[in-house]
Amino acid sequence: MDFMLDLLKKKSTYVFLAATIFVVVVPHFSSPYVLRLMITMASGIIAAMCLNVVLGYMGYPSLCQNVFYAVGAYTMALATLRLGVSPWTALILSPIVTFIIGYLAAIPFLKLRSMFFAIGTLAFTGVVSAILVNLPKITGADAGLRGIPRLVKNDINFFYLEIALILVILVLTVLMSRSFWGKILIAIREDEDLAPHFGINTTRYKRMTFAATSALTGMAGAIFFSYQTYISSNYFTIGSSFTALAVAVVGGGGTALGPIFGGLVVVGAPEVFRGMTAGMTLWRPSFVGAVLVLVILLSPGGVVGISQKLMGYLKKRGAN
Amino acid sequence: MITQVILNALVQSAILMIMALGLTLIFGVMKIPNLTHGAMYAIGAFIHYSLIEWFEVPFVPALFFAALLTFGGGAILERVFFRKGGGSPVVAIIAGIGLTYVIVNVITNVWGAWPLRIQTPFRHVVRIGSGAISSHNIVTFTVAISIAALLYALLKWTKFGCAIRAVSQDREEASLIGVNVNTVGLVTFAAGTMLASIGGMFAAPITAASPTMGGTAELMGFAIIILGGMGSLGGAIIGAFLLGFVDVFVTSYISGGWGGAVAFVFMIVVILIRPSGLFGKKGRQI
Amino acid sequence: MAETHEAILEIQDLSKNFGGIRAVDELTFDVKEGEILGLLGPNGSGKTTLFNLITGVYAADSGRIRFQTQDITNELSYRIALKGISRTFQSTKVFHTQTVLDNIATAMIARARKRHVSETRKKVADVLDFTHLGKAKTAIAGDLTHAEQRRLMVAMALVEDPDLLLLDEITAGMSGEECNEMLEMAKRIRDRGTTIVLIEHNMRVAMALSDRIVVLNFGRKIAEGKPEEITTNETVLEAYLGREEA
Repeated sequence: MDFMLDLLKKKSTYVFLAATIFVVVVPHFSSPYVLRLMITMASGIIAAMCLNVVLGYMGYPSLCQNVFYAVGAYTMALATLRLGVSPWTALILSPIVTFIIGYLAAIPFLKLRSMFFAIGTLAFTGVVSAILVNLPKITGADAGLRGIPRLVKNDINFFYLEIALILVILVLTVLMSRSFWGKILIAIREDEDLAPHFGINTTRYKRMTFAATSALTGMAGAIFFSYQTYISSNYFTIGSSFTALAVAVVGGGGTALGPIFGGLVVVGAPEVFRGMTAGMTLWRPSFVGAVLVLVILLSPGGVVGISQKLMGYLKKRGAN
Repeated sequence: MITQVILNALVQSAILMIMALGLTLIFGVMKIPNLTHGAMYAIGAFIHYSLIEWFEVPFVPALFFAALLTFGGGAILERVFFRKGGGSPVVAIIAGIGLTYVIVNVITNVWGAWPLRIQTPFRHVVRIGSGAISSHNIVTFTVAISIAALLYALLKWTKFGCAIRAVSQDREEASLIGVNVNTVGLVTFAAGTMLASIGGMFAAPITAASPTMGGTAELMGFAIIILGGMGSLGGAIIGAFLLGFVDVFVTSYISGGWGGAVAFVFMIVVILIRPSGLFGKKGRQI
Repeated sequence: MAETHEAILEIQDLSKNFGGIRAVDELTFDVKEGEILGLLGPNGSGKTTLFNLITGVYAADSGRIRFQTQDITNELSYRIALKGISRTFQSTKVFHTQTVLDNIATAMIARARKRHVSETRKKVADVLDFTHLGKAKTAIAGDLTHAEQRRLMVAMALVEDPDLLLLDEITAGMSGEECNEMLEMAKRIRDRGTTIVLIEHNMRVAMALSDRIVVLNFGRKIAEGKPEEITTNETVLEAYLGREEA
C-alpha cells in the first residue's frame, strides 16, 4: 500500500499515465494524416534513440544512421518480395542483416575521431546512396519497389508496434546507462585515450554499441517501410539523412528520454503551425534546420537540458 | 573519345578545385569543416540566375555582384554562427547541417525544386582533336587557375595573406603577435564561401541549377581536402584534379552514377590509412 | 618488506623513431621488483615516450619490453593495464565532468564485474582514504584543486593494486607542501608492494624517493646508479647544463 501511495505522490507517475492515455487513445480519433504523422514521428524517434547512444553517450557524431535505416528497410522489402518470406520473418532478418553490416562498417570507421568520423560516415552515406540508385535490378532504384506486405493490417497497430519498440529501447537505454556499459561509453566519450589504461577494451564496446544500435535502427526502417508498402532510393539521398540527427540533438544528447522530446519538437511542432498557415509544410525543413542550429549553439543539452535548467531555476526561485 | 573525356575531366576538376580551395581556406584558418559549403555553392548559382533573369544584369557582371553578395552572406554566417572557432567541431558540423537545411529549403521555396537551365553567353564550341569544348568550359578552367594563382599570390606576398598563414599555423601565437584573429576568420570564411558560390555559378550552365546541387559537390570537396591534406592549398589543387579525373573517367567508361561513389570510397580509404586525428599515436588499436 | 631482486620490468634495446628523430635509442635497463626507480633527463630525452611504449600507446620500432618475464612489447594498451601496469600522466588526465567516485568506478570497471560488490566498495574506500580524497568523493573532478586532481589520478591508477606504477611528473604544478605529501604517498605505495618508476623534474623529490636512478639524454641511457652516484656524474651534469644553454 505504501508503495502505491508513494507512486501517487510522484509527478512522473501522472506524466507517465498521461502519456499512456495519449498513446492509447489518441490514434483512434486521429485523421489518417495525423496518424501517418505519428507513425513517421515514432519511427524517427526510434532512429534517434539509437543515434543518441552513439552520439550522446559514446560521443561519436554518426552521420550514417540513414544507411542502417535503409538496410533494414530494403531487407524487409527484398526478403518479402524476392524471397517470399512473411513480413514477420523479414522483421527478424532485418536487425540481423543490419547488425552484420553495422559491425563491418564499425571496423574501419570507428578508427576515426570526431570530425573525421563525421565526414567518413557522411561519405559512407553517399556511397550507399549511390549503390541504391545504381542497381535498379536489385533495389528498384528511384522507381522503387511496391507491394511490400504489411506486418499488421491497421495503421493504428503499426503505431502500437512502434511504441512497443520505443518502450523496449527506452528500457534498454536506461538499463545500459546505469550499468557498466554506460560507464564505459561515457569514459569513451570523455577521454577515449585514457580508458584503455584502466583495462577497458574500448574497441570491442565501440563496435558492439555501433552494431547494436544500427540493428535497432534497421528494425525501425523495416517496420516503417512495411507500413508504407513502397520503397525507393529517393528516401536515402545524402540530403535526406539528417532527421534522426536533428531529433537526437534537439532532444538532448545522452539522456534516455531526450529523443522522444526531440521527435515531438522536430516533427510535431511544425505541424502545430500547419493550421495557421497553409504553406507551413513548405517551410518545415527550414524550421528543423533553424531549431537544430539554435539548439546546438545555445543549449547543447537540447530540450531535456533546457527543461533541467528551467527546473533548477524555478527551484531556486521557490527557495527564495 | 579519350580527348573528350580528358577535356570534361579538366572542367570538372576546375570546378571542384574552386570548391576545394574555399573549403581548405576555411578549414585551415578556423579548423572546422564547413558543412554549409554545398548550400552556398547552390545559392551562388541561384542568386546569379536571379540577377540575370530578374534584373537583366549580363552574365559576367552578375557574377561579380553575386560573388559580392555571397561574400557578405558568408561574413554574416561566420559572425553569427561560427564565431566560436575554437570550440568542438561537432557543434560546427551540426550547425552547418542545420543551416544547410534552411538554405536549401529557402532555395526550394523561392526558386522551385525543378532544375533551372542557365544560359551562358559563352556558347562557342572549340574543337580539340577528337573532342569539343565549349568556350564556357574554357572560361571556367581559366577562372579556376586564375583563382588558384591569385590565392597563392595573396597568401605569399600580402600582409593579410601572412596573417592568414599565421592563424592557420597557430591561432594563439598569431593573436599574441597582434593579428586580429577574428577578422582573419571572418574574411577567410566569407572568401571561402564566395569561392563555393563561384563554383556553383560556373557549374550551373553545365549541369543545371537545383536546390540540392551542392550536396555531392560539398562531399567531393571534403574528399579532396582530405586527400590533399587538410589546410594545404597545393594539396587541394592536386586532389581536385585527381578526384575530378577519377569521377569523370568512371562516369564515362564504367557507368553514369558511380563517379561520386568511387571518389567517396577513395576518400574513406585515405582517411583510414592516413593517421590524421590519431596524431602521434602509433600503436595498434584493434 | 621483503626485497627481491628480480626484474619486474626489462627494457631491452628499445628504439622508437618519429619521422627522423630517434625518441628512444636502443634503451636497455631493468626495474627491480619493489624498488622506486627514478627516470631523469632533460626535456625531450624520451622519458614519456618510454612510458608510452611500455603502456602500449606507441608501438616500438625494435627491441623488447618484458613485464614479469612476459613479452609485452607490442601488446594492446588495455591488456597491459589488465596485467598490472598502471600509470599517471604529465597533464592531469581524469574524467573532468564526472564525480570522484565515478572516476574511480570507471577505473575499476574492467575488473569489478568479476568481484563481489562489497569487495569493490572496500577497495574504493581504501583508495580514497589512501589518497586523502575521502571528503571529496562526491565532488566533480573538474572542481577539485590541481593537487587533488593529481591525487585522483594516482587513486585511479592505484585502485586495482597494480604491480607496477608509472608516475609521470606527478608533482608538476604542486607547491612545496603538496610535493611533500606526494612524496610521502609514493613511499606508502612502495611499502604496499607496488614497484614504482617515476619521471621527475623536481630534483629534491627524485633524489629523496629513488632507490636507483636512470638518466636519459636524446633517448639514450647515459647513466644508471644510486642517487649519490648520479649527482656527481659528469656526463649527467653536461647533459643538463648543455641543454640549458641551448
